[in-house]
Amino acid sequence: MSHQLGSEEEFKTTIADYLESLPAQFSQRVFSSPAACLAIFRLISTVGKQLIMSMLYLDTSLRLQDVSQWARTDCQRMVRGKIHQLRKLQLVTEEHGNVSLNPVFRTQLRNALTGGGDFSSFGTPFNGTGRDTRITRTQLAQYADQKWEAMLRFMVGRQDSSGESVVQPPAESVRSILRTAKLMEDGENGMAITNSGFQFLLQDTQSQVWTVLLQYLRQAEMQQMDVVEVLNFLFQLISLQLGRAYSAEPLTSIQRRMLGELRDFGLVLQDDQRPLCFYATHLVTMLSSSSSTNSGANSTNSKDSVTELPTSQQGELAASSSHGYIILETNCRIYAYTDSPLQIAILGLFVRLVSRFSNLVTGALTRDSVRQALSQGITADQIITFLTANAHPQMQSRVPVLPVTVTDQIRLWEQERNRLHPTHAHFYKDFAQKQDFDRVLRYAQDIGVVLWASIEKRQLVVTRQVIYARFQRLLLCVIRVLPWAYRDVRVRDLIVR
Amino acid sequence: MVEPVESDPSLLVVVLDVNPTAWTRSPLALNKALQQIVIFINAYLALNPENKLVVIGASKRNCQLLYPSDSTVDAAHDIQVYEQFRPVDVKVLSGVQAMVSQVTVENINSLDEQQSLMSRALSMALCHIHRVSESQTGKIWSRILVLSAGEDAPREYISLMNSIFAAQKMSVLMDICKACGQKDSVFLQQAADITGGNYLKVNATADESLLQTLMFTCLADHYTRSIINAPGSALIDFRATCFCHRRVIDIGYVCSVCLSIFCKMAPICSTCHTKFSFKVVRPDRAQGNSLATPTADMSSLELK
Repeated sequence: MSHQLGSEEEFKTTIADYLESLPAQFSQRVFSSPAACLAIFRLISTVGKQLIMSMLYLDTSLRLQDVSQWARTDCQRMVRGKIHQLRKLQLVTEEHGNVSLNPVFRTQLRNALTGGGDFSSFGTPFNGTGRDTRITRTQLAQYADQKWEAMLRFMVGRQDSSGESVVQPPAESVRSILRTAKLMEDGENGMAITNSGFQFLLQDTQSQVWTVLLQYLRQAEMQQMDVVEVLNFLFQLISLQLGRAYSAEPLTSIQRRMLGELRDFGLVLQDDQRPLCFYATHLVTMLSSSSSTNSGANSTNSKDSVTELPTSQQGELAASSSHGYIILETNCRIYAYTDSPLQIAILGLFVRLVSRFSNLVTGALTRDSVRQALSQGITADQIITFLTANAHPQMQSRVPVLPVTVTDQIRLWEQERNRLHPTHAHFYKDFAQKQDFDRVLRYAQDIGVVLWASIEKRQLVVTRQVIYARFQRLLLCVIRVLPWAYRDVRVRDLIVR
Repeated sequence: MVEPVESDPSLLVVVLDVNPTAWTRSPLALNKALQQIVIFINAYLALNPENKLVVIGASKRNCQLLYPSDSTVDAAHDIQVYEQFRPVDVKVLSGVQAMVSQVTVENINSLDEQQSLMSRALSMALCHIHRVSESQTGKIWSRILVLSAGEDAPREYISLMNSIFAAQKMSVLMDICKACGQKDSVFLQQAADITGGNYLKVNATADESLLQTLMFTCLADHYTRSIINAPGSALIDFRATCFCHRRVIDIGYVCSVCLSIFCKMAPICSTCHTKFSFKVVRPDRAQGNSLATPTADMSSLELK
């Protein structure tokens, strides 16, 4: 149980948490690049962004009270929370109740908006020869998806006993990341997927890429690499333009090494003929988008002429909406229009697969299949979000997307497993007199700490919280008023599991 | 009514008044103002990668779509700016330049020359918003930012009001930023009030004060506006213009059938051709089913 909770928390760790953990002098160096500032800016919440933008061109510092006055009365607490978050990220400094933007961050974010400052931070385009061999976006997308799916298939591969040809193990750098992220561990016959690995598979591609990148950062830290340089390069990659060739010449040796390692994940593409030229793939450029997008296997540049969005987001969005392949019926039957062994293997985690055709797999959600998934550490919410994200376009048009009966049933199956709730508590027994017990019980009920009580047995279980201290005092009061009871009231602490 | 969610993208239509005659009277030069607006646009695009933008230029004689436009930007060189910003910046700046060069500045003091085709630009903006929100799969929240420099054009009153009410119906916010001119714009003030946006008159003498004002009040999307207070607006002039001479009036006559406003009594309504019976207007028999009655605009009374 405790292991499960731990791994879940691990997944919640975001890049923001990582930045918070950096010491001040490190983050100052991270902020020295406009690209990093812009990427960090995009990671924070909408209200936080507005607060930063409001302060960006103010030269004086503001009183903290005034800033929270900007908010409507019912939202002031929330805004103060946001300021606190910004402070933890070291974007905002606070002195004597005055808040102002971090000066380095302010200058570089201004530079990012006006196009000044260190101009190589958004990448240097490749101006070499051989323009005719340019790689198209479709090629890039194919390359990235192929690499990424190879990794995912490697993760599920060991479980798959359908006689599929043995999955090619990915490069050593990929395997070591999977191992240190505890997504897979070394077993008797090769590497085996862990519980967190199962959870990882059900996430959308964007979260998966973040998980891998965070792990990469941690590993870089362990290998004594300069974290700031690694971080800055990651942020630079995120802000690169899809489908354009960039030069690797101005990069440092660490960054070139990163390029080689990230290539194994399909995050960047390096041309074999032109080693100094690299491309960023959609896996990494989509990270600057806040909404979750699916892997765009067919992400062509289907541009909407009206709004001509500068990045490729639109093409990806269009791809993701046409990418859904799962139909779920109210009777828990599932039809998945897919022939990808990876998608079938992922479905197999929580679906009892019944039959397979050339482009269709059918199966059903049963109590056993879902419980098996739950026992592997997958949560009901993860199953539901996975099904929602990959629902067939015909299902997407309905509100809600999935039949309520099925989602409720999946949640009920999860609750079945969670019947016990551990709470820290104290157990009191052996009250000598009924009126003592009644008095204590009434007080405990008034302050709302009773977990369980039996009047016949004169026994009482109360929660162990802050309130408890007051309860203890009352107990002593009772004892003082009724001195004869003192001997008989024996207090015994017990942790009820 | 759908509530805005944090992750919803927005669509911003910026209507730029680029009438050179009006800008000559402004303490802030047009190119300085443009620089600040481009930074504001970049900031808007930085907020959310899915944010969409339309820029429309409005001048004396014509309105033009500056962004998105068909002209391609040479992408090969100069990478100092984030890739997403560059085409927008280049197109807006070159588009405004082209528009300004088309018009000659003459008769600086003529009131007519200082008026831009605001209602036409707003109708264009609303058409674009409609088109984008129809083509979008998810919800997109739209708003219009008008950067106005010229004076109100009374001849545009009816069409302007129509587009304002259309915007209100489409739940499109209209932020108005009056960059120069001594007088407040009566019509645009009403536009901001009706649609729930902000009306700001910028004291543009100081450097970057326009940018700071824009960042502070006009950058917030629908979601943020439900959390952060908008600066309170002063008293708003709700006066209307008459349909016959396009004059802004305090007290006028209202046709009881189509609600057209006239500054002089007329026997026949020019809009709906209703014939008024003048017998009932006489004060002694004024009560009952009067057809044409002198009415005072309620809001204009409040102002006095």
